[in-house]
Amino acid sequence: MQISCLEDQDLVTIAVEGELEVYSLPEFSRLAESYLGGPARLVLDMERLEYIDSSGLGFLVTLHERLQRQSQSLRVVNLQPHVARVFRITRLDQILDICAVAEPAL
Amino acid sequence: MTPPAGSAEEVRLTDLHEALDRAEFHARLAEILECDLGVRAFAVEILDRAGEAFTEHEAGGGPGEDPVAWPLAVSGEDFGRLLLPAVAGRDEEVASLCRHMAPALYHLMLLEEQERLLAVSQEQIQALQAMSEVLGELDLEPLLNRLLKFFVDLLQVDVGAIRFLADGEVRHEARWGMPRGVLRRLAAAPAGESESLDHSHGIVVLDPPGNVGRFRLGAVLRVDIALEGGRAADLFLVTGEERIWDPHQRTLLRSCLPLAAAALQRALDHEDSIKRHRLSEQLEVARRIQEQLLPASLPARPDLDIAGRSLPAQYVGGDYYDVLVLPDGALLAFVADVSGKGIQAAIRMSALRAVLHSLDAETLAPASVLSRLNRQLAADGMAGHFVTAACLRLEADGGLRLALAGHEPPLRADASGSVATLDGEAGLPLGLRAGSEYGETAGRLAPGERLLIYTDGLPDTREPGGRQYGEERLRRRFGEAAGADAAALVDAMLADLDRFRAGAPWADDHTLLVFHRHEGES
Repeated sequence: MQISCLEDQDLVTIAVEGELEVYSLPEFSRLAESYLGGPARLVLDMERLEYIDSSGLGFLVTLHERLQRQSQSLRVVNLQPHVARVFRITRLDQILDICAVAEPAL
Repeated sequence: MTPPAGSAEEVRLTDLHEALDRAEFHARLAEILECDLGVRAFAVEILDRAGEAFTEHEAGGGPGEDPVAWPLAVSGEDFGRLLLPAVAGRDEEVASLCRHMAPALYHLMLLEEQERLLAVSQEQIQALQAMSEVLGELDLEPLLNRLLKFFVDLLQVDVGAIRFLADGEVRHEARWGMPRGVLRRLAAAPAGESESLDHSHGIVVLDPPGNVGRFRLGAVLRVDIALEGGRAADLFLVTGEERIWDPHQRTLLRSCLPLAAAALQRALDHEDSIKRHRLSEQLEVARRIQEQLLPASLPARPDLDIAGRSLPAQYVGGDYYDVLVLPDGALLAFVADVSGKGIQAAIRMSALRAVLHSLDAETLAPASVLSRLNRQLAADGMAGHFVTAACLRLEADGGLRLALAGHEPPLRADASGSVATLDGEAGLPLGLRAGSEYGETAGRLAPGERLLIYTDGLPDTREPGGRQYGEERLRRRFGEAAGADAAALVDAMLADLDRFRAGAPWADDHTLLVFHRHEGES
């Protein structure tokens, strides 16, 4: 898994490449949690994410809830079809803000 | 000018060459000087490598003021000189004496140097032998104590300490006569003259901070021993009096360091392997417990054969399946995937099973099973963890009702091998939201049809190149196996997964539960 990060005032875009699963999750979660209480909007760019497992999904749900409590938002964008299917089957697309394409950064 | 053959003088010069050590040499030299030249007072000086002269021997109160210096040379190079009071008119005799005595003295010096080196290596051999006893120690703490005592004895210092550090933190320390405060001071002391041995060992001479309280520090040596994995040891050796650490002592120290490093590394490896062993024992216990949570056998019904298998990706997994026989003869099938892997997932899986089995069997409709499990799991507050589940109730007449909580929909294959998804309105995974509601889809399993409930570990299985097994291949394999009984179908599908993964590790726990309704029954 590779992570890159782009900070732009109240918006942080985190791009995750490869696999977000139980072994790579700690690295990702440390980074994501460092933005708790920080910028108003977090965008998770999954254009190059190949695989997400249940640990990854579980973390996204708690991250979403913790950000909400801090009045921050989380949006997941650019999902590959098979990754989008995982969100659909688990119905997490009802909980998380999922957007097929990235909105242009303001 | 060479003395005449057979003269008393020649005999005396030959005697010089027969001296066994320098004391004897100087005694004979004194005799020659007195008999042949009438000189009692003299001195012999030797030049060191830097050309500095130091007195090797002095007799008769020394050569007095303004002596004459006669060079002593071997192969044209001066290595010392003979100092004599001025002896008028005897220059040639003195020069001749010097020519004779120089090789004899040089030879003796070489011999003694060799003997000294031999003694050093003898000491080295003894030190290494003493060390081999220390090396038998496998446990880190006693090893540190014994290494410390060994080095204290080896360099004959007064006090010492050794510390073991992991990631810069001190994890153990052993002290020999050294107060804790002194060690703390030394650990922070700057290096003075330093000597790097090689890339992994360094001997550093510290500038002694003088006194620490009433504790006197004359000379301090620090030895850094680097170990694998960000770990290291440092050794402090201290004398109360000032001391120059001579090359001989450094040689001894240097020859023992690689062994000390190897012993420490071995103790660490030993410690690690004990930890690993304990962990794998715990895992083995957890695996056996979990195996017992999965059904040992599945219910049988004349019209149905049922087979299931759940294999963890690691020792223990978070997948679960069960088939309960309800009082009215219907079957309740349950397949779940607890998020995460390993022991934590297994613990949650056990909790899930406990709740499932505690539900009142009379009222079990799939949707209400899921909402009740969800309420329980949400109340348990498994932050960041959830359970996807499929719950299916199969009536005696083949009628079925299905409820899904974020789970892969089951597949149904008819006798011709065509496969359909048993889709339905799925609710959220269990444990996420306390109030989640679940819907039910009704359907029927006709004679000759098969039903597969599985976890995403199946389609997520990957080959070494990273390609996923995928849902398409899963449907195809499931459809192809028409006619096979449930157990054979489970075996065939697992074999195909295993072929596909071609030795790559399992991506996830994988579970499959198959129902096969026989032809001709109703």
